[in-house]
Amino acid sequence: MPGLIHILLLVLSILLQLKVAPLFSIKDIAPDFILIGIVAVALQKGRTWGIIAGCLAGLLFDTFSADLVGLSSLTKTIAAFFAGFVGGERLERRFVSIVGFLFLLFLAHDILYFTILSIGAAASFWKIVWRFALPTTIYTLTFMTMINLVWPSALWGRSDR
Amino acid sequence: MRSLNEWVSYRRDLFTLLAAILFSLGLLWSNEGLQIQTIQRWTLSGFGFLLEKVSFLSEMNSLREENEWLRQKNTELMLANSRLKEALNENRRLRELLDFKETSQLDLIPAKVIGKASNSFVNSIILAAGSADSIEKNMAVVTAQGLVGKVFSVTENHATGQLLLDRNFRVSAMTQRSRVNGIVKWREGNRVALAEVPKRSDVAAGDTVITSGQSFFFPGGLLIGKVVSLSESEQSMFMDILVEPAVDFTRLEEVFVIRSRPINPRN
Repeated sequence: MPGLIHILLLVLSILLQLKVAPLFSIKDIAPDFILIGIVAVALQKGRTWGIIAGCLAGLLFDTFSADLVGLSSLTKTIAAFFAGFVGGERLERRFVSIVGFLFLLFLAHDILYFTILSIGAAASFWKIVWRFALPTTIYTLTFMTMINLVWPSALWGRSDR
Repeated sequence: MRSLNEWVSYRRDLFTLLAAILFSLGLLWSNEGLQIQTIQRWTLSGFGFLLEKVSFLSEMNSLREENEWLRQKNTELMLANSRLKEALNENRRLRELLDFKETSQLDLIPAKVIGKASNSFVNSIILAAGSADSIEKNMAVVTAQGLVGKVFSVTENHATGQLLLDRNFRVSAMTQRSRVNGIVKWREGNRVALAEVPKRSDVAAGDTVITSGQSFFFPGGLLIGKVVSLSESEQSMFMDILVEPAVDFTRLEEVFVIRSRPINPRN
């Protein structure tokens, strides 16, 4: 079962997304604190709780975003599932491996999210990748790496499931 | 039966994933449904309260109430000024109608911005005011600088506002100088477009774009922004007009919801 700290982590990540992320927005690219939160839960608690956290936290963001309800929920659910593979120790727990894996994970999440969101917006796939997905991924990963410096167990630690 | 239970238990992750994906897809397919609105109201009520509680972090000065009052007065003056400009233009065009009189009663509800959900395509704000303050869905949201957006969903004490920079936002607009009508919608980044304007219309860079008043929800004369560039292509029937919004969306702290649109007694 997720501990109180994980529930607080998710609530904190949602609050950060709604209160702090807009302050860090550069050319309408902002870090995705909710993705960081659910990946941290998935890394620590494994896939099942990661999926539940991703689904609920994504849904919460969707309800505030005045857009497609269910989209963040869907993409974050899938991201948490794959993040859980690291939680399940299927990847060697070296910093570079995890950061490399998270880069691919965040990029896949952002491409899926922005591709669905931009349907009807007349933006090409490559524009979505270069203009929106890749910058968001790099920005989010930068924050996750910085958080890892402060709280190493977010990436490295693993509590009993 | 036991082996089935063991198999389900073994595949718990996949079943959870499948259930979560089906749940999300179900939500995506029923976006206009009553259930979605109910979920939105619940989360807005719960998290709105929480967001409001942590807002003290951003309140660094003790002159908040005075600031709020000044902002309200400023916005009222801006709207009055905007209405006067509109009235002047109207007067020129309708000079022969000497008895023309417009009673415009814009009632402003102050609302503090307690959160912002934004990314490259989605832009909305969370307001610490709701139906208890007489806010209703689709009411216009403004600041002293101009149009911010509209109310998207409302609970008793909170509301979400869809910004001008949201990909789904549309408002009927016109250029103040030449009265050319179009639809303002988000283009990219911090820019919006004045769309549906036929080629060779009288539009120039620097023209002020305002709400046309043709929309049921937005009073006429609200400042939207200025035309920054325009072009024509052979492939399109319409001009490509880029507008820079008057509002600085990165500094939204306090907004006003317009409770009612201008009332014309002859309508």
